[in-house]
Amino acid sequence: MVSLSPTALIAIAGDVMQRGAILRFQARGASMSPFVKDGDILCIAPLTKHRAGTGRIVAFIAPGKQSFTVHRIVAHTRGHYLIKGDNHGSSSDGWVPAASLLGVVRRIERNGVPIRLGLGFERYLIALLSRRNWLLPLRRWLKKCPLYWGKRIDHER
Amino acid sequence: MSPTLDTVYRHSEDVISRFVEGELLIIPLVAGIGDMENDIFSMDETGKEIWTRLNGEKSAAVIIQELEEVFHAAPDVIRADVLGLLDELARRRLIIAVEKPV
Repeated sequence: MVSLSPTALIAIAGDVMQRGAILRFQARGASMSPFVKDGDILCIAPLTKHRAGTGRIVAFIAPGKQSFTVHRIVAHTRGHYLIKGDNHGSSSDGWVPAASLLGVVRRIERNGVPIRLGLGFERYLIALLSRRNWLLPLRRWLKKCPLYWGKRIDHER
Repeated sequence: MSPTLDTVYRHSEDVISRFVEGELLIIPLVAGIGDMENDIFSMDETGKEIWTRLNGEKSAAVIIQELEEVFHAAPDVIRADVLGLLDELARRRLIIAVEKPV
């Protein structure tokens, strides 16, 4: 697999999205854990085919940094999106203009297996919890709690 | 079909190629998630010279001749490199053989 700089990834993503195709690449970092993990393969579809809305995981150019970032929309107004990593406490990427959005994550693969958690209707709840800064405390609590789905989240770490 | 010296290739329409920070990247385009298996390819110096000549007009023989002048390497080595890469690119459907007019 080719390793790309953020500049290269932005340029390529722009080209691919403009052609209405899908970009497939390997995610790096833990900012979207547990829903996207370091090494997961992400498939980004163009915004012309899939609407960006609250709860969607999107690829965008981070304001001020000019870096290629993949985080979740936690709120939106006309033309602007509040975007945040699922694993970020209270810090967000700020309000990002629609023009900085590159595409929408339509598929996550981990070890060759599609991961659906975080892309379905639960995305609205994740976005709500993340926006209110409850997602991280909830995850910490679940890790301590012997609930089935708490174990599931731990299991995915 | 393996490339011959007479084969003429062009880039596939389902491919984007782009120079980024001095590197030539080739990105296969896919329309649907079910189609996806390809990754992004990066070309070395020889690969760049070959890729930029695949314009649907130059045969493999012409490309080999031109690269001999660029790299000043043994003709056999250049020939093996060019035909090998063309075969690989065609197998991955990144290039398409141009039909000869009847």
